[in-house]
Amino acid sequence: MARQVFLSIMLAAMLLVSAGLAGAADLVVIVSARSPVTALRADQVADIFLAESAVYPDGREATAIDLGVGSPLRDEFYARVANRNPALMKAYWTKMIFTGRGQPPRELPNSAAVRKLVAENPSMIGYIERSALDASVRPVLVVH
Amino acid sequence: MAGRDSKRARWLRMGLDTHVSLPLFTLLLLVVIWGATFHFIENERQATRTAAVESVQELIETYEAQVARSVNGIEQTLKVLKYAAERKGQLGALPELHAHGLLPSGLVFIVSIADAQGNLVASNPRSRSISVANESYFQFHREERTATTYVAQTMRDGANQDWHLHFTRRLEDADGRFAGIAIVEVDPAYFTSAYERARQGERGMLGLVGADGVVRSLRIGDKVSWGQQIDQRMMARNDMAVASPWDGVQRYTAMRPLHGYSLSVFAGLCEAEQMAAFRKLREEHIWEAVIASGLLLSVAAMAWLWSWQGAKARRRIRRAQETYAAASEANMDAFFVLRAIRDRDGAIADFKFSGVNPRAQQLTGRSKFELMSQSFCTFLPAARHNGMFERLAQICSEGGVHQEEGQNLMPQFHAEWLHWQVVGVEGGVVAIVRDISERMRNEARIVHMAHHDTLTGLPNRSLIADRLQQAVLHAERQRQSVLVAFIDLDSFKLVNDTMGHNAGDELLKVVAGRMVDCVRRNDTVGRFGGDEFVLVLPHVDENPSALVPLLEKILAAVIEPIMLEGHKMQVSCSIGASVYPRDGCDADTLMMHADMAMYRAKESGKNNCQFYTHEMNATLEEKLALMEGLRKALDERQLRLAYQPKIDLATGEIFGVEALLRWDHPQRGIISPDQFIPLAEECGMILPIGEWVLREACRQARAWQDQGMEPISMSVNVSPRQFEDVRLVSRVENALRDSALDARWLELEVTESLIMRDVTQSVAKMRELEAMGIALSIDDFGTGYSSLAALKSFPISRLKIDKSFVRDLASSEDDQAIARAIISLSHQLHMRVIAEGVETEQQRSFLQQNGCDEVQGYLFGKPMAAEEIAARLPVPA
Repeated sequence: MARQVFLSIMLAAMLLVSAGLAGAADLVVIVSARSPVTALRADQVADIFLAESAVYPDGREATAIDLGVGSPLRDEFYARVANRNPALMKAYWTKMIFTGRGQPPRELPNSAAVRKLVAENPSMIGYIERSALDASVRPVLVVH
Repeated sequence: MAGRDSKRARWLRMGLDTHVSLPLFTLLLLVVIWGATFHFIENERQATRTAAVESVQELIETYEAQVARSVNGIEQTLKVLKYAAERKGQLGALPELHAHGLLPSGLVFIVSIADAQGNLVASNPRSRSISVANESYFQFHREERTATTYVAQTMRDGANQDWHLHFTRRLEDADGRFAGIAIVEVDPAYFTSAYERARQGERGMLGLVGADGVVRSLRIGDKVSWGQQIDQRMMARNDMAVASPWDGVQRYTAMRPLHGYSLSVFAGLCEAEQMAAFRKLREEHIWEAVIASGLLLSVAAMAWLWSWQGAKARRRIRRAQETYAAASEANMDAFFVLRAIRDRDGAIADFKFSGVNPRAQQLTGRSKFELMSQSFCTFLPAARHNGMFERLAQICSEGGVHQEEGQNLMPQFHAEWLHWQVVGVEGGVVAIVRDISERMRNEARIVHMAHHDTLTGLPNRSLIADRLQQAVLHAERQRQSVLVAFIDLDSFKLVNDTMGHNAGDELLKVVAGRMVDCVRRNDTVGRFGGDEFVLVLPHVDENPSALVPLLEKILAAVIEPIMLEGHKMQVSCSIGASVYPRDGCDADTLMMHADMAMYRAKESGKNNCQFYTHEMNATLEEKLALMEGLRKALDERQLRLAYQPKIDLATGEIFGVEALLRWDHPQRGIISPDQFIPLAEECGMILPIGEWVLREACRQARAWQDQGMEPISMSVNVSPRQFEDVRLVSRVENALRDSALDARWLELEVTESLIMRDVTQSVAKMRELEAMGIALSIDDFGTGYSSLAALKSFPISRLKIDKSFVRDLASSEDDQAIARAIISLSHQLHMRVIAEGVETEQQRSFLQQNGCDEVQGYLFGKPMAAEEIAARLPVPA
């Protein structure tokens, strides 16, 4: 049952993703240019953003930085990386918060703010529009 | 008591019989199987329920902790809001907190501040500014000066179209006046997001309820709802499943109040889901039990069938044995069950008694033990020699049934005659021996009875004929002679009549014994019937006169006086003899001729012996010729009547006549009635002749009257055959009517002996005749044996003194005495007396002097023709 639900959700998510693909700008997941992390897989990124994991694969502390609720970039990010639409994300965090297993990442209003904060903190990880990329940060994953 | 014991024994045996005990045992096993199955199932049910109850408890504990922490977190946020608002002002509070990361995630929580008028002045995430002045929580805080957190019912408002729970706290200004409220809104689903399908299933339940009993949040499966009113006491039950009011599903539930808040948490597990595993298990258990039962039943059924067949066979055998035992015990036949003893070569060497019944013990006079402890040939050594052993051995090896009967020659069997039935059975024979002595004796007796006279024990008629035939055949071969003698006792009837039949029988026995004593061993003395005996003397020389002494010896022996019932009696006999081959070649002829000779002996004065001669046959032929002539005589009017006058001594006149029959034979002339009347009696002609006489006499009497004579009495003699004729009375009636003769002129004369044959019937008949007006007289009075007592009752009007008394009346004083006595007796009985055969004047005068009324005889007139009588009759003036 759970598997079926999961599959149907996956299907729905994929349809959404493909629908929004054409117009959507590319996203990049970034870390500070000073961070030793060079590349991450989507599931590793998802684990950190969903508070499943608090560290990078090499064991360093990882802190996710998010965009505000309602941001199209945010919705796209979670759809691509975690296969979750906003409703599912809300339900996810509701349960996480209620059960005390984790808190959602700190939210910033836009890509520039994210880039700035990430660039300054080697433990942080965020996502921005590809166009907002600069040398202060390093893309570890390009989300298509 | 014995009955009850045997009954108990029977029950016990039945119980031990597998075919009875097996079903019981099977039943027991079935009970055990199902008992255990249900026991396990019940245990499983209890365990499952206990587990479910414990699981609910665990759940509620975890949930309580989660809710408590969450609510604490919310309260903390409210406190921080209050602090910030009071310090930084209502507008500055949220940015300040946000800057320090102290606001809860906007994803889940909406944090707002309302001023004292109820207008939302700030909120995160940002939302429309509306007035909450009318909301219950706002009013509560405005009115109640309390620091507690208020939990409103789930609701929605203009600022937020989604359903939310409002947690609120009162804000105050520096002076402690109401300054507004801090609000934390949260989706009701937040509190039930801990629901785990894996643990709670599709119909488990988590929920939060206010102290007012209104559900703030309720999750069942994936569905979240709120607003229901519940009975908290019922939810608190944790020992049994109860139906939830909203969906009717049976659940194990638990409820805990949250300390410090007017909230309670509750959880529930669907009974059906919790018990699903148990139900599956139960089904499996039941299936296992069903299969086990089926297997057990089929195995038991096969075993039972097998044992039942066995029991049936045993019962059949037992019944057969019991039947045999019952039949043989009670049987009148002796049963010997013999088992063959075989020697080394397999040949039957002897037999052993393996069973005998009581009758067999009785027949042999040995006990069962004695018999069974010895072999057959030891018990019966003779069997080796008389062929019995060989026969038994043959039957034993070849089978079949052998029967024989015969005289028993073995002293070991206490019987004269035995019937043996020997049946071959496996490994031996059964001999059924019956004592038939009684039957053989009876048969012998019957054979003897069939051939012998019961009274004298002498051979009877059939055996005599047989013996005679044998003797004739033998004589024919040996060219010898056979003498046959007919012996008839003279006047035996007299003895029978006077002394009774027992005396007669006794006489016959004595005489028979005497005759047997006279003859040789090979001779036969037989009783032919009545007082007739037959003698068959075979092996006679050609000259039969040699046997005359023997016959005379018999005559002498028979006439010897005999004492019968104290009286000395004497009987003589008449013997007639015929000889083979001289007098006949076959038994019948010889017997007939001997009979003829015997009659001749009777005629010759009795007490003598006559041999058959051819003349006797000639006499017979003459007799036959006369008989033939007699038949014609009536038709050819050769018979006529003569009339002898009867004279009244007082007047000397004829008062009547006696009609006497005469036969004018065309060749032989006049034949005497003494000659032909016995013949007519013998051949039955007496009836038509008698009738003719009666009619002729009546006719004549009437004719005289018609001629103008003085009427006279007409006497007619009645013969025994006529008198016995049942139609006698009607015949007389007819004769009188046809002749128109007045009955008073007819007199019937009957003889004494005739009446005495059957006194009762005779009297009856005489009374009928008397009633008609006919006179009756007794003829030949004094010659027979009259019962004087009977005479008194006879309707007799006249006695006739026999001529034998009248003949010597002049010289014999005895006859005179008799005549006087008869005359006197008649007068005493008021009868008239007539004397017949009066021939002399002396006789007449004697009779007249002694008072005799009437006479008839030659002195007064011979029998004469009707015309002569008519001439002598006086003509009335």
